[in-house]
Amino acid sequence: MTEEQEAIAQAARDLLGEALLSASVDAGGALVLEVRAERTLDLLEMLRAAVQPPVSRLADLHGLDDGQALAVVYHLFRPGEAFEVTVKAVTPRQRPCVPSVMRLWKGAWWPEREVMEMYGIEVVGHPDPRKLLLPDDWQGYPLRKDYVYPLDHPYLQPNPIHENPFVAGGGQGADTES
Amino acid sequence: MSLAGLRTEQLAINMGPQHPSTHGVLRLILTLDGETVVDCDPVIGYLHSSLEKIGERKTYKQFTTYTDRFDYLNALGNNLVYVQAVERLLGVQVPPRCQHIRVIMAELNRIASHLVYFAALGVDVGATTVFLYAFREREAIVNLLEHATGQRLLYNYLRIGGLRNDLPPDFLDGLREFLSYFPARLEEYNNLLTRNRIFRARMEGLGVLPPDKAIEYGCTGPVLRGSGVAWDIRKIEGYAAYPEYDFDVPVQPYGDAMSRHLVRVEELRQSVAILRQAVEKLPSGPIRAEGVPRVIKPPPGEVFERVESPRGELGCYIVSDGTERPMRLRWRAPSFYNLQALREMVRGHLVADVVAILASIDIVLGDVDR
Amino acid sequence: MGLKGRNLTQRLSEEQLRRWLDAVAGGVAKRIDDRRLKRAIGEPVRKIARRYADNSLGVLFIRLADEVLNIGRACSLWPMQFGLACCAIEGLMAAAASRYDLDRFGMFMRATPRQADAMLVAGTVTIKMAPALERLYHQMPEPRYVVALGNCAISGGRFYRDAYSVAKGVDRIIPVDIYVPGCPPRPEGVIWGLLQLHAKIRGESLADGPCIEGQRPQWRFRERLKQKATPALLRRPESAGRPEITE
Repeated sequence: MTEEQEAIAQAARDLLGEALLSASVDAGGALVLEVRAERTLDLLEMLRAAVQPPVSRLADLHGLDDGQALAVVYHLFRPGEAFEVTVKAVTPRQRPCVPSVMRLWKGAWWPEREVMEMYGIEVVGHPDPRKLLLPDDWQGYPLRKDYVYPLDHPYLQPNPIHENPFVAGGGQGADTES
Repeated sequence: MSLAGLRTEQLAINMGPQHPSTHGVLRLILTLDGETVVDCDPVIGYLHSSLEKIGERKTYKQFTTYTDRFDYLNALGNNLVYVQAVERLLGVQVPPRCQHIRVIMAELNRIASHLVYFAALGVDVGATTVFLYAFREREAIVNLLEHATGQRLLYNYLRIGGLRNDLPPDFLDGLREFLSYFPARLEEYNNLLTRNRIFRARMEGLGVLPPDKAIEYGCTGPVLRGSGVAWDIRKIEGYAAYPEYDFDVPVQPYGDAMSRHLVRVEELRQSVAILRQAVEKLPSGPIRAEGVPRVIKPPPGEVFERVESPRGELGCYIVSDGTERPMRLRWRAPSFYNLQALREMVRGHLVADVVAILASIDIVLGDVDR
Repeated sequence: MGLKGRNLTQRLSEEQLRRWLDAVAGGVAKRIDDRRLKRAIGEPVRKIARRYADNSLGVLFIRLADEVLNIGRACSLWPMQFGLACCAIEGLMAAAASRYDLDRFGMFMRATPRQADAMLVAGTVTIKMAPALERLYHQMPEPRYVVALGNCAISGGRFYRDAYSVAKGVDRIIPVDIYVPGCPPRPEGVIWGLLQLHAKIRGESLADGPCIEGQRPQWRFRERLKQKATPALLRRPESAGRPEITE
């Protein structure tokens, strides 16, 4: 970690206390801060305001499922520079929810809709919680690790003449187990 | 009868998902007051091919061929960002010849993609001749790329740790020949479009996006540079031998459709300049890095890698948990964020202008829907 | 900012919008039923053609009529451009551009299904797009042909195994006449497929039975077929005179 990243991590620790779950550096050299979902907005506002020069550009917003907990990941950059801070808002699987950051960046409009439909994480305060990429009547949250493919859909059933060469005993349903 | 007492209502009309504008399956629900657009709600997802889920189920090597398909007009750029991300996770450095060839491929792809932008823009705005001229140039580039990679659109040429094969011996001659006549053709396009009075009347003042809104919505690429903000990932991040090249980043201040068009025309000239330098500078040497294992299992970690695609900032975020399949693969698609700003851009314009504004943003639905 | 959902389009979901449009336009669509039209005009023509088909003079006349009508239909096939993904750039746009000119075959891309003869489905068909695809197919007037261009339209292609949202082939939604493989197919391959469609059209006859969805009429004049088309691709076992192979 560079000194600047150390300073930001320390400031985050001072602000959030034990809501900051971890601070580390990823393979590309960016600072990664994991925070509990309730305190996300505090951390983001701190990065926008208190850090000088501010890390205020949202490049990407998406969800993450590592098998244990769900998270919403924000990739923040210093405008016009390559300095990155990745913020992961971790939320438990049982009732996942995360505050909406639309009041900070309007560009979070669609990504948060996508997170809601793909992971089932409730984004609190989002003015437009419709589905974005999936049909309106889709069941289930596809990008979760425990998602079950809807093989009873007429368009999704594998062709019955295909034997699955990768699974012994092949057949229907086998192509979604690896 | 006077119009003052006339009661009007707003009309909601549907454009798409199949409509003659060649950008793909996008559905726009326009709320009109007469012929003026009051609100626009894009409905996307008609091309959602669950590629991020596929990324979690395929191995790193298998997924390279799927990366072409996100933004299919910039297949080599997609390959580049994915391959760079995995190389960063593995901690592998590719040799210089490979870096320079990657630059050549990325710039050729940028030219090809901007030519398709010209073609689609011409068809949308009504200047159909430009479609035929742009595709004539694109055939020349695609022939070169087919000679080197074997494919015309979804190249799958870059590999983790290097390239699939070295450039054939007459590739550089073909490239030099192309560069010798292309600038004159570019002037032809300018005569047909940019200096055309009708085109200017059609595109000037259309779809103005102020720079602060552009940054807030996450717009990047020519949409942002047409609004006056000079950010280009090739200069900011300096990946893949770009720091050794001398080129400018075109910027236009007004933020309307004509500015974005002028930015793309200038980007074509800059790409030609980069290719001219690359043809001289290309070093010899190996094209694959040493020490890339046969089964790729990067150590646990994550990386967010960005490149400049013809549409903007293209990002790939990979989380690895030490196995041979990624735990999470996220594609930061530039068209996804650029399309959000469409709502801001079309307020107060006519329905025909919506088509022109959409053409000037230059989206590719493979990127938007993934 | 308009995101509160005050306007109509945001309060209605996509399902509701589709049902609403059906309710308005469905009545009109039901009244113009082309099966009734076919029965009113087609049957007498077919009766006459079948009566004279075995008469040598009748054969000459009917063959001539068939040839003229089929050439007329095949050589001015107007496809509806249904470009969905990457195949649209190569299979539709590059094939229609000046190098691999589709206009020399009389093909003029139409944007609306009402004026189109053929539907070139080029690209990945997702489950969300499938109802729109089906509706556009039904909006095309008969005789209509469907060409599945590219691997994704044939079988789901590279998305066959792990995709939750991609339909495994467009022939699960609508009946397909010609399959053009490739990812994306070269423009020459697209032209090859369209020439096969020409051969298929020119093999049709006035004496054929009604066109049931998904089954093209049996070719009655198979000599022409042997000259024009690739036999292995288009020969149907029952019309080639070979014995039925039963297991």
